[in-house]
Amino acid sequence: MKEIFPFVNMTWNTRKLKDKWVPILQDINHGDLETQFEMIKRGYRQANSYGFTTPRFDEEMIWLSERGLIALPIHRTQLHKGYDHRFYMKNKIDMETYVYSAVSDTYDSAKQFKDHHLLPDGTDHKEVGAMLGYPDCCVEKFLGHWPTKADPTWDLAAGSDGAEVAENTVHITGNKKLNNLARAFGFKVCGYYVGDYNCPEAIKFADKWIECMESYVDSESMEMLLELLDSPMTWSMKNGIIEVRTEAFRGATNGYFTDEKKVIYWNQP
Amino acid sequence: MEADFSKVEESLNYLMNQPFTSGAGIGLHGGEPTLVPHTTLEKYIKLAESYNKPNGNTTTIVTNGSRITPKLVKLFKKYNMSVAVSADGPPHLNILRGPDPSDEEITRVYNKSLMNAIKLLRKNKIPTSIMCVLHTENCGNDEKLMELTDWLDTLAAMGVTGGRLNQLESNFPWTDKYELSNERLIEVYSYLFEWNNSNKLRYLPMREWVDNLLGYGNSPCIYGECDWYQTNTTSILPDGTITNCDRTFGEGLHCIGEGAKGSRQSALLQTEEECEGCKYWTVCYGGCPSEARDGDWRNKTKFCEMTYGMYEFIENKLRGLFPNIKLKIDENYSDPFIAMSYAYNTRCSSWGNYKPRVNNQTSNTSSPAGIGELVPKDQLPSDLDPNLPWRYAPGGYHADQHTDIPGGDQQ
Repeated sequence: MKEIFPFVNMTWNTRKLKDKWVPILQDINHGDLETQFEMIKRGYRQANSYGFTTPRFDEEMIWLSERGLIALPIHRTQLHKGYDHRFYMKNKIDMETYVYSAVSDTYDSAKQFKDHHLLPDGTDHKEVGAMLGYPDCCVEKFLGHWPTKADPTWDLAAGSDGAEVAENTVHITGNKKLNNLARAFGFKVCGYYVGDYNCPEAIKFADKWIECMESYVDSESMEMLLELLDSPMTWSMKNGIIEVRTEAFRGATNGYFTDEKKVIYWNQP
Repeated sequence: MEADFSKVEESLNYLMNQPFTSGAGIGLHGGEPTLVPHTTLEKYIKLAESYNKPNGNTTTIVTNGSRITPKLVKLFKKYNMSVAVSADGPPHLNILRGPDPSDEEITRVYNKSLMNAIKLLRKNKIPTSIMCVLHTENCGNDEKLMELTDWLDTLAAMGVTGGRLNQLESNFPWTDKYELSNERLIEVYSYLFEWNNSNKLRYLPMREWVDNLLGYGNSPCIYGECDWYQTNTTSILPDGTITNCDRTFGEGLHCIGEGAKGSRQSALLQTEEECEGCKYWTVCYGGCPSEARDGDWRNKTKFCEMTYGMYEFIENKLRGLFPNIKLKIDENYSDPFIAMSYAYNTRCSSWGNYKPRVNNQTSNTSSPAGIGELVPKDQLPSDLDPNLPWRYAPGGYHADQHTDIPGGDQQ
């Protein structure tokens, strides 16, 4: 099977931008991690996934315990950066192991989340999506493309309300809160595969996310994040690699192989 | 951007203490480095030399040659520098360079000063090389190509015997018309390869292609699995910023990236229309990302046909000269000349038509195996290494150590 192992490679457009953004991005990423579980605490989702890494296993256990969370391991996989589009299973636990786990505030929910991953024919993505709090419409649209298209970003953009599609190019004016184009680099609100970049249900979910995130992220960082997500971006996928260009940085990450180059112009005339 | 010597010094010190720069040479590039005041230039030269000298490297400067004065030559001499002069041929071919290529008179004056600079450098015995870009105006047809090599021959007589002959890579629509096609580049480079050899010159990349096939470390950087966000070549800007290769600047990249390298190579290797199954992968790796097709670094170089053609041309030459040579593109590559070496044979030859090593001390009259057949280990004389595949031969045994050489003629 043709695929690129999950990776992230990014560069800032200038050193000035790097100096400006690095502390903000750290703030956002820390807040994002907290939010994933704060969403459970506030009853906006039932469970979440978490990947334990061997070198930080003890710290991660403490971190979850301090938040009153229960973790149940699901799969042992290969440690990676960025988003994987499938599980890279491994049996051995070593320093390169990533234990993909179900996390919730109750054992039952964690167990349920885990069980939805371990069905005889694989994962029940509909149930997993529901437990993560994603709107049904988004889950439906996602499953209309996945897993044939390992990263359905382009197709979901093309199918969005108001999208202009010309062959392999999409022009879209989407809601900044739903902009997940640069999620691999840490620039996102909820960051999941939204069914439509202007979906009202997804916006409601993103608002809950922002409500939680604001407890952890400096208001200026939050404002800058949303500003960046609203600014012009270009997402493209070629030879299995996604490249995202923004006003502050550009980054590359794993996508999937398509015959033609796919491009999304976000909030651009 | 404001220049800050102490920050440049700090950055250079940082870089030169990284494992990946071990033994690396430092050169002064521009823009045009001779534009900075003489005393400042000397400071930078001195700094570069402090790292180059202990590593046995010469400090180089790349210049357009327009400001070479006796005072500057003195400076180059003081620090044992070598100078690379950018020039694309004799005056009537070197018409795309200079302060204003659209003005004939300005270009004529520039060319005159350029030739005077080269003469001045050589008169003072400064090692000088030529950085020549190949384009339609200096080798678009055979007549121009002959004129170019005639000019380089003239320089060779002055002691300028090497440099770089790189093809123009157009990044702008208005320079597209000067770029040579892959077909023409194969013609040009094949000719230059023979010319370089027959005149014992050291122009690159022709010599590098040979070295790459021999497995002596891929060079230049474009054949070294370059990552577009974290390039093989590192630059230090005047303000001390450590950044990527200057080829990325035009693309708006001014910072070194962070993260995993190698995705481009992984992608190219899995894509049929790119590099999947390419015989020359290990001596190319898809080429320079800045030269990628359609201006997208995720594609292979737009000069793929030329690169493939030249490697094929040189491979045939090498295999013609040394039929049993091992090249980097071969399976189980090791020493390219192993089949021809004394370490391997009792009688060496350039074609690797070796006489297998025979153990003459052993005189065994009985025959443990047929002539040329492998002798079972338990029937070997005790003085022979049982780990080697000994074959029986009348009067002794020979160890058949070279069966992994394809086409090895075992007499």
